[in-house]
Amino acid sequence: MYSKLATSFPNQRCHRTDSSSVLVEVVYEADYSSCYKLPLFLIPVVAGFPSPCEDYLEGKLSLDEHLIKHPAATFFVRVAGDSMVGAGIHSGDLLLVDRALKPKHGNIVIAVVNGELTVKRLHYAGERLLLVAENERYSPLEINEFTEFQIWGVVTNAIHPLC
Amino acid sequence: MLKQCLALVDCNAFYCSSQAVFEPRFWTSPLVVLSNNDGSVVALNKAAKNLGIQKTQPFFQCRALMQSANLAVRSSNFPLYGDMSARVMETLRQFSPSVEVYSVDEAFLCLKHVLPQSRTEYAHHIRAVVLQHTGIPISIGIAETKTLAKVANKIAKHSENLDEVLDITEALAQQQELLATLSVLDVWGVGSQWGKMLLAEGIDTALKLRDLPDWWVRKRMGVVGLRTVFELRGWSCLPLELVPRRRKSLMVSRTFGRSVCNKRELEEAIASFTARAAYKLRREQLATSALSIFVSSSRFKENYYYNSARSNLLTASNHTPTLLEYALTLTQKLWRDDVEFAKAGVRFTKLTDEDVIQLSLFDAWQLKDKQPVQLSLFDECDLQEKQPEQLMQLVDRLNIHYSRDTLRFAAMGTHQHWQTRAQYRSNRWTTRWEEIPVVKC
Repeated sequence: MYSKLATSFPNQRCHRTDSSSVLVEVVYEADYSSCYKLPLFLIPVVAGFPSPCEDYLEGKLSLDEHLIKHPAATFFVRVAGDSMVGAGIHSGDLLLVDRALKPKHGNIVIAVVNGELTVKRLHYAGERLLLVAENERYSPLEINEFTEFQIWGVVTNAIHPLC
Repeated sequence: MLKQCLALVDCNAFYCSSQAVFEPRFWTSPLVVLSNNDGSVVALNKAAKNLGIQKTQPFFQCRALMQSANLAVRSSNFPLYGDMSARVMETLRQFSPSVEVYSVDEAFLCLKHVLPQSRTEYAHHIRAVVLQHTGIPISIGIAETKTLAKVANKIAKHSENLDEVLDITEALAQQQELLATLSVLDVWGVGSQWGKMLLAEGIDTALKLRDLPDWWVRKRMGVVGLRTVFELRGWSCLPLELVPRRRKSLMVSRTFGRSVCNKRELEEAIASFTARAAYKLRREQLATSALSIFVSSSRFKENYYYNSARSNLLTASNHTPTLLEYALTLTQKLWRDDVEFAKAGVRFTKLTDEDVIQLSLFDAWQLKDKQPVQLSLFDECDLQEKQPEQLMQLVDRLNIHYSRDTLRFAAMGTHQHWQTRAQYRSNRWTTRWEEIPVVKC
């Protein structure tokens, strides 16, 4: 069985209906002048001989499996701000946050500071606890007994689109 | 043979807690979550309780507190709560080989594998892990039966010095003490009818119910009531249901965001509910042979109107276009122009598995291009038969991949002004890419 894949060109007219109906902006008309035949199967065709790869087929690579170790405890957040550029985290990036990991010195964490979610690097300096930025323009924040503070989760990966 | 040991895990103020995980000020600042159409309060946190607000209170009564007491309001956000619930349940599964998900925020766990002396510590460990992994605080009650575990959980939740965990397994003296202080109305399985009857007979505490003679309970409350009493005595009669029971009916209904006074809108609403219900049927691999529609006006206004209509299908189906035809025909019958419709719904009954559909005599006649052709047992099945199934599979796949109702039937309408109002809904923090939390950097 074959189907036609046709190219099309836009019709010049624009239809505008009254304000209570859906607006139609452009109407396309199919152009059958150039056609390409593509094979289309509804029923899988059994080849005359089995594939040599049959015994070696592996599953597809899955980013979920690779990046998410604790699905029930993993959340996604988006970054707004540039205080962590030194760590490779830019404004607009997607972060994978794992709440199941125990936060350690040096981890980048999501913390709740005075009721807000923020992302910083965790620093234990002896008795002191600091939230450190990765940008010269920002100074570290010291957490004392008066600061409303809680660790929300550990950042495991940052996803930064390149194009 | 070890006797049964069950834990009832229950999330604290689940809806409010789910919101607070992503808006941390709600752990301390007062918050209420509203019902469908923002009508009344369905959940409130401790701070809101301290303001005197109560569950099921109409929202307009607490509106003033938004200004005067900094009360925050959120509309019900089921995509969020459903996802958070799944996370909690998944986290619980690492602590027991048998977990029964009882409701959106409750689960029973079998704890037979835990040494009696370590059970309380184990429960505290479960609490800590669930809190860390999901952000949701929980309470745990442990006993030898489900009913007693519920009692233990209730006490654990409301006691100041128990730290949200209570184990009363085989602690008969303690059980006696607690049941004596618990109202009979608070026993799981005792509803308002039996409650009234028991109170009239002078049975006002759980302890008195427990100690009633068997024959009396059997006579007045049947074998179901007897099971509850046996459970209170520590004899486990309600096993963990690890596999959900096959449903007997499926309903989709909604209260409208604003009254529907035009036939087209009612049809669109019914069509949308039918499509949604048909999708749920296909997801559970079921088909229906009986479809009914109901419509009603507002219960809070005068001249309350309710009506329903039902249709049987010759052949069971879960094919949306077929079900839409029946649903819309029934809607014609129910339409009245002197009624302001406030709610409508679609219900499917006589459910069967989709792969054992019994064809009727008439199906064979419809197959080939509307020309009556009687198939014999020896005719091969045409590809045409498969097309309806493939169409719905494609529609379902696209709607799952892109988002609900990306591809919809025209009868469902595009504007849908009757949709449930949810003025204060927060983001769907964990289920929509465009609504994930933004963290300050």
